[in-house]
Amino acid sequence: MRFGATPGPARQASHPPTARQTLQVYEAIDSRDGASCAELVSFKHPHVANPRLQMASPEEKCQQVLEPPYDEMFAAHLRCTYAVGNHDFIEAYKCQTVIVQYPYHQRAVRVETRVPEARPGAPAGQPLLSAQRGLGRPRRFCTAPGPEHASQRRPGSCGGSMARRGSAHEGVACQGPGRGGRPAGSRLRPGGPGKPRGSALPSPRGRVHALAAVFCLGGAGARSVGHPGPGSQADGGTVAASACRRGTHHGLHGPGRRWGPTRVTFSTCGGRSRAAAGVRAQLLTVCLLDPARPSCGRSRPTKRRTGGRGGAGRGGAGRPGGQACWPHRPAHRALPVMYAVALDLRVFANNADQQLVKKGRSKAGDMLEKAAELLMSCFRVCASDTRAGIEDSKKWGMLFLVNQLFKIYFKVPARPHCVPARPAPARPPVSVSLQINKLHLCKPLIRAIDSSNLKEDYSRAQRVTYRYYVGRKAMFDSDFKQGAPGPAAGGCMRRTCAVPAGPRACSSALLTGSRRAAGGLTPVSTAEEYLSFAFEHCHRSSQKNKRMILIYLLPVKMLLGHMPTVELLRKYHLMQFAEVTRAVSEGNLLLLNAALARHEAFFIRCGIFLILEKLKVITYRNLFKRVYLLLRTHQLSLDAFLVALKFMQVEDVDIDEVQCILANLIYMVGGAAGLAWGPWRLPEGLGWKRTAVAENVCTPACRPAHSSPPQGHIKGYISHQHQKLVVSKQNPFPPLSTVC
Amino acid sequence: METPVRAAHCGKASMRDCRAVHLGRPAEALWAGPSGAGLPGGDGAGARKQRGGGATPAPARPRGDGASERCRRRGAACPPPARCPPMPDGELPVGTCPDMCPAAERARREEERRLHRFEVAPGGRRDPPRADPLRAVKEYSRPAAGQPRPPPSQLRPPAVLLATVRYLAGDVAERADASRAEVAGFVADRLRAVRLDLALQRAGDAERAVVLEAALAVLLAVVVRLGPDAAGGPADPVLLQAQVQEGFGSLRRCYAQSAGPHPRQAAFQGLFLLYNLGSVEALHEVLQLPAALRSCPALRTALAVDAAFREGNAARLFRLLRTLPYLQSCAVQCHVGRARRGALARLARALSTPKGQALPLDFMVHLLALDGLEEARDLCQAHGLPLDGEERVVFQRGRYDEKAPLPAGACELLVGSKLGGRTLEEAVMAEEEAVGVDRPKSPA
Repeated sequence: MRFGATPGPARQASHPPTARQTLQVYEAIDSRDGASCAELVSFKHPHVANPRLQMASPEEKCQQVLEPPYDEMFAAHLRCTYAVGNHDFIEAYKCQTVIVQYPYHQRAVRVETRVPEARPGAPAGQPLLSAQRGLGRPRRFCTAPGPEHASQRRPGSCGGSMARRGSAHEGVACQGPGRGGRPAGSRLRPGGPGKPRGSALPSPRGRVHALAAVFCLGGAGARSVGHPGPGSQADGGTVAASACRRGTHHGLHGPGRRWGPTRVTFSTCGGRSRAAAGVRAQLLTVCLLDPARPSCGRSRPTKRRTGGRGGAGRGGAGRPGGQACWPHRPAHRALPVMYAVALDLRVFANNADQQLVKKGRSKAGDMLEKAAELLMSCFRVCASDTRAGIEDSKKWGMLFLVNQLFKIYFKVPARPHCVPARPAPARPPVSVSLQINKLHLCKPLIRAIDSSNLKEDYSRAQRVTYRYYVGRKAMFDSDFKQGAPGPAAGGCMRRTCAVPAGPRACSSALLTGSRRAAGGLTPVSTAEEYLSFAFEHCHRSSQKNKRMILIYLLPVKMLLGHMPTVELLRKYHLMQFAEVTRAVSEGNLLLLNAALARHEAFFIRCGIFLILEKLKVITYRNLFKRVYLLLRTHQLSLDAFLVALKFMQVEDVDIDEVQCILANLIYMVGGAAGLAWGPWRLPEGLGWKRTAVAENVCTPACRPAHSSPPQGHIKGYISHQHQKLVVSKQNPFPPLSTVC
Repeated sequence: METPVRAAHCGKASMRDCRAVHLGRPAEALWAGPSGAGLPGGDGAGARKQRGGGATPAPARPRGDGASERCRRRGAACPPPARCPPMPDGELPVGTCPDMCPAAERARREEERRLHRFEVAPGGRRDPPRADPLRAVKEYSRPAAGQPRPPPSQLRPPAVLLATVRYLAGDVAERADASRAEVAGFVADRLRAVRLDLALQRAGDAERAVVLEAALAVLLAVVVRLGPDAAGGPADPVLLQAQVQEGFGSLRRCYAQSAGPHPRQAAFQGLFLLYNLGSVEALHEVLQLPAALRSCPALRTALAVDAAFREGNAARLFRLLRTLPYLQSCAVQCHVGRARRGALARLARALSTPKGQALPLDFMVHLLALDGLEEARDLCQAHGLPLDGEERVVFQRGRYDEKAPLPAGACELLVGSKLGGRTLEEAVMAEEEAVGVDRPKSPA
């Protein structure tokens, strides 16, 4: 129990209505954790659709109830709802930038427990914190700086909006009702803004993180009800709530409908008389203890004084550290808040970007880049949290932020002036990165996650998202398969194949081991691995997500010689690939060109056109293999290939070009390089088939542990004098999956 | 007297003087400089700042430098009279300078002895040397924060800028009495000033594009003439390449921001692709262009060249390169050596046998569009392939050296011969007309 208070019915009844209402809210709050709190600042929650909450200037209302800086935070949230209600995403984004600076920031408002006897000269109720407010905005909560920082702050340096609050800074975090001698059930700030409190509650000595969210309930609009039951749906109005998320509205109706564990309902009728008095805010406070400061729970006895006892199993009155009394681990409590506000920030940045571009006031991607900077600052806070034990660490929030950043980086469009700063000779020749100037920012994020010991312990949803983006990046970097770092990574590596039990073991365990042994490199997975993981672990009901993954997994698989079945394509509405698949399998160059041309817009939009173009090499290979199968000889005339190419209506082809194409196939890596691996497991019964021509399935057992140097698609050589291609008598067209 | 070219760091003195001239301007009229990031040219920075910032430019009063009567530009119409009506907030001025170099800058550089020898008036050895108004060209000075915006009298209108570009292409670029590096340095600096002038004034999209296209074409030709062995000389090839990229950036921004049709857009988008041959980013940008534009012959040729390059199809690549016009050949020249090396590596793999297989060098010359047997021999020997007599090369397994330094080729066949006896200016202008024929075809 948050404040140790679960007033009984008799006690509630003894309070005036406002106080009773407050207590009800507290009762509702009482069982909440960060997740509930997150909902109250999230646009996933229907409260954002309540027109009574959409206020242009909610600051005053918030200040009446909430302590700074949470009044600012929640005022910004309410302004944000107002802006979204007006479809002004530019303003919404600005408000959201304010909100996102509160959770998890280093320069938080430090809620230092004031020990009265420690500063006998200080006026009563004047907390230490007032001297710390001079740091200026943004005053964030959460990670508190060390005491040495506090000592460096100059008293009285607050200005502007800071100063107007006067001394109302004390005990932001763990202030409960009745704290500091305040009458139980009264408002949190009975003295009003700027009025010094008589006896400020000794806040915990340690740092306390607090999240306060105010909700305008009362008679005006939304009503927060703690528990369903008599009275909880007293107004019984129709809940007309729309989740204004992503600019879309979803109407949700139903009296007394409960919205998840928060049990907040919104009533549009009832209490209208009180609405004239404005929105009456009530407080939701969730205290978030600094995980590294177990001593921060000292204030709670004071709170409990108000509410009495309750919440069996969570009370822990005698617990000195105070953490065990919280239902969840402290760091986890703030994470959902950060998730919610960070997600909304990105969505608003996206929408604001579109609005600004439409108005011609900005270039595409500007707002997204700014949002990325903010998210990066959150990420740094999370990544640098080394104080707590891993189970309490803020590092649990890293992957979510990384995924959000990925979404931005993969979305930011290219700009004309950003294209290569220098001509290509100074650069690696081919790197299939499409989002210019942004994808390189992914690298440190990937490194941070890869080096994290939590990377396998994040939630599956987050891991799937992460691997989807990392797989896409690996694909754009031509890093299709393990052992094939691609041209950008500095050349082709030798095959280091082993004979494992299965393909995944082969590629992950053994190669990783060999690489580590060889050069101490970090294990590098590749597009095929990442995307396969994402596809296989994506929830089966998320068909749209699986389709998105398949858009990138299909080209990779096809480059490795695994063609999707028509059933798979049909199931995920990806029939654009059907003709391409057939053309590549048959070696039908004409059909391939036609299919690429027909669906060019789709492929370009998805950013896979250039990768699909690489399939042309495989198509050449399959075509020439058919020529070989027809002629049944090991000395093939170049003219035969010329005839085949002309049959495929290749323009202006001559015998020199045939030689070049053959030389390419003999030499080249063909885009799919690296470690040999076995047949891929068919996902969900729908799966893949090997190409019709690449029928030589190489089983793991038939390959040597460490095989020959890289080979091309054709084993043989060209006899220029005789104008013939001389192919190997054994396996002249190695399976695609074995080609390096 | 020879004065070294001062490109970027010569701006301080001029800007100091510029500030002195406009001391009475209020502080808010100072035009803030570029933030640097994302503004590679720096030439568009001031303009963007002005548009967005709302800095109030003082009504510029044209200075009576008496230069308007000297409208003797090559092929340029007389610029409009030097009038500059009061401008609303945030609006860019219209340049009124009738000369290639404003009189104030000429006088200042005379005084500071910073005239390039290409700009000195012929005849007589005066001390200090006098500037020839017909030859002096405004030099580039970096816009920086805290410096006042140049008045319209210091900005050349688009017509004068185009004439300046033509002067640089016709009279300077082919000077026989100067090294190519010196010429390249001078021309590149002056063309950069042209782009900056254009960015600081209000101009129509069409004329803006024309000036940028001409400037870029001349810069490309001059940089290509520099040759591969210019490293360490007075003109740094890397910096010049960066300027070419900035030129492409300015031009493509101009295309992107204006809706009107540009006759040479397809050609210059193709040039952009050819200059960045093999770059997936560049190709991706070109693929984003409208289909009607992509179907233009100039751009289709560029896309075909790029596809052949990425595919490693050397025969097709060099066959296409042979047919490219001069300007396109200039753009793609820096990739020719790399393409040849790649082709040789593939051939070495495909043709090598344990005993060795001899090929006539003529085949190599033909396949790789080399300038002659001598160049073919150099190329093969540089990569460790032994020769059999004078006219055959032996492909033997294990002999190919992939890390050999690339021999510098002149690309006479692929580039130099495309001039066909024309001057540079003629070649650029002729191609302008030739390319102008290749308008985007209607869907019908």
